[in-house]
Amino acid sequence: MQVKTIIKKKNYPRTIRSYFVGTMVIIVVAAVYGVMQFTKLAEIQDAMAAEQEQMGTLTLKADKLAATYKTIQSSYETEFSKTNNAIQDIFPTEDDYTNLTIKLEKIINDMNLASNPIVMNNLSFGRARTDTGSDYSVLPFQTTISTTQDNFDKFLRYVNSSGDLATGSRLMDIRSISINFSQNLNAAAGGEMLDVNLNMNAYLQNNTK
Amino acid sequence: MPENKDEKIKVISLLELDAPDGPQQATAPTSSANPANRIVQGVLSGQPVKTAAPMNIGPATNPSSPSGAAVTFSTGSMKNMGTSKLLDTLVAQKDLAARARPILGNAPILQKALEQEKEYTLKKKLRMSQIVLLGVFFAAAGMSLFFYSELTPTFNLLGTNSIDRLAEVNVKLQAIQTRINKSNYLTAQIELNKFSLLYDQFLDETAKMADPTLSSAAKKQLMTDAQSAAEAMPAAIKNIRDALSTDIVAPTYKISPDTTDELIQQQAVTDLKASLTEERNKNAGSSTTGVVNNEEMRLYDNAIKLVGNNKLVSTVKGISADSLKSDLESYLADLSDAKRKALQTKLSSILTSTKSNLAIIGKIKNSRMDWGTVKKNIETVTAGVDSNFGKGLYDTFGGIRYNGYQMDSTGERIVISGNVKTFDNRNFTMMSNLIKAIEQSPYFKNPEMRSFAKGGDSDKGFTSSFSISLNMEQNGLSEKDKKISLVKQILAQKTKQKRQTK
Repeated sequence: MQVKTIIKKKNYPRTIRSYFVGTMVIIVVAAVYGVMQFTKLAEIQDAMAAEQEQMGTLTLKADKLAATYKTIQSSYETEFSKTNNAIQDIFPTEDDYTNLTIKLEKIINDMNLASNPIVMNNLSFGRARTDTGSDYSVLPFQTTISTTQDNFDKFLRYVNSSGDLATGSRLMDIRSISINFSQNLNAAAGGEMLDVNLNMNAYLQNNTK
Repeated sequence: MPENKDEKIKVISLLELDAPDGPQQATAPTSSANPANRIVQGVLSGQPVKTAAPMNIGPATNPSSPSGAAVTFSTGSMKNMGTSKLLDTLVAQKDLAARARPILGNAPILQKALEQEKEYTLKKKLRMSQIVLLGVFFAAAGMSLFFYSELTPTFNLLGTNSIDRLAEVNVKLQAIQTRINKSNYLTAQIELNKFSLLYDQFLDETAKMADPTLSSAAKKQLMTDAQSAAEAMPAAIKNIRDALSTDIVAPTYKISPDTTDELIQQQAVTDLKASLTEERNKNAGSSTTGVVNNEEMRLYDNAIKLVGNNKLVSTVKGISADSLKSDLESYLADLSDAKRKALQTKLSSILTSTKSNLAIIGKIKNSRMDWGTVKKNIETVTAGVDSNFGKGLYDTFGGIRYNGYQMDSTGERIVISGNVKTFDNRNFTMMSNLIKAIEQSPYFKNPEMRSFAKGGDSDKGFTSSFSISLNMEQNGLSEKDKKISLVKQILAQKTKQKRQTK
């Protein structure tokens, strides 16, 4: 027992030093870790404060933009409602060949004058088709007209300006023109009559998209 | 029990060393009085030894022995074993014990008290050190736990921590940003639709101005409308650019290092598309009349397509409002085909991206052939070859007459067909001259016809049919009129010289 007591007495300072060193190590490690974590926590707290402030600003901005959009949308709908209706006329969702027939006959008849004649002799429609990957559908049709050179040029201009929102004319184009020079001369027009065969397309919206 | 005698002796020695109070005085000189001696005797005799008194083994004082150690053994026993060895061992052990004893004897009582006080102080310090260590340890552990609980997203035993609160704020912030993005993209889509409409009106009005049958008043009205559209178009482009240039990601604190900018951007795009789709479906479902507003649905659909359309965004960003304005004004000044084509090329990429009906209409209009212009240009070129062309003298004096215009299967070339009539049998020459005139004209290029045939006689005239395929020149400018590089010019001259020498 005496021997053990002696050993203990001798180890007291060393043990104390060990505890001291251990304490210091823990303090240093904890301090480093604490500073790092505190920095991170402080960053997060700062970010949170900044984001909450930003949230207020962004909320105001979002409300303002939503209101602006509503105004623009309302204005657009009012201003362009006629346009939207015109789009339905010039670029319908269905092939609507009956209305196209009526319009073509009307335009031909409007051009037809005794001094400058034009007559639509034949009109036949194919089936509407949609090419792969196309944004629109096509209604092919064929027509034959007897016309003077002057009226033929007018008809070409009409087709070339078709799809005009202002006039609401159906969007069309010509794929081929075949001209036969008639032996009949039109005395009033002062020139020969042309028998023109036209292969044309009318366009409609692609509803399969 | 130990097997041999040496081991037995060692046991005794250890017992003696472990004696608590150091050297003790023997209570009796005889061997039986001392328990140690009794044990030794018992061990030596092979008999079990019982000691009633506590073990108090120590050297017995013997005046005759200088070391004070006296051990009594029976003579008979000593004869039975190596006595001298045992004694030597015992003596040696006694010497060890004597050496361990303080030289000056037992410490005085006062010294003991000081030592105890010192020991007490050290113990106190030790205890304090232990307490401090424990305190620091627990404080560090507590601090670590606090930071862990605050900074670990998955740790929510103590309720919502800082990192979770920040994550919630991030989500809320991005949700608000998505609302902003939704408004921006819908606004951009409406501005694109407006732009498409203005562009369509502008092109239609300017095209109509080329009509020679139009009255001057009508032309003036068309010019006013076109100018109005030309003024509004740059503003629409600016609005589109402003709406699409805004960053769709709200600047937030990155909680996880794995969260890259690309991932955040991708998430923002997904959120925006989901938000637009949700609102589209909500509006479609809220129709009380059962009739869904197709135009509104299309607006949402196109806005969804607009999200992530980097091509359109970069195109819009690349168009300067001022530059566009000057281009439009420049075109309005002379209405040249080249400038019209350049405008169409510049703006078609924007319109195609919108996928609106107006854009599709514009696309069809731009791609269709203006047969009136084609016919007029062909007639102009032909008049240079046939001086009687278009005068109704074909049957009488011969010449060129067209009877067909069509696009080929690819839609890129046009084919013109007609008849040539001569009375001097020079049909092939006239057709070749026509091909050359077409090639040299600024309107067409690459005319081709490789077969010639004719029939008839000099009385009724020789007649030939022809069919020439050709391409339209782009922007009304023939490649023949374009500048060529100096190297090409030199090469062409050298080739010419070689041919001449041959």
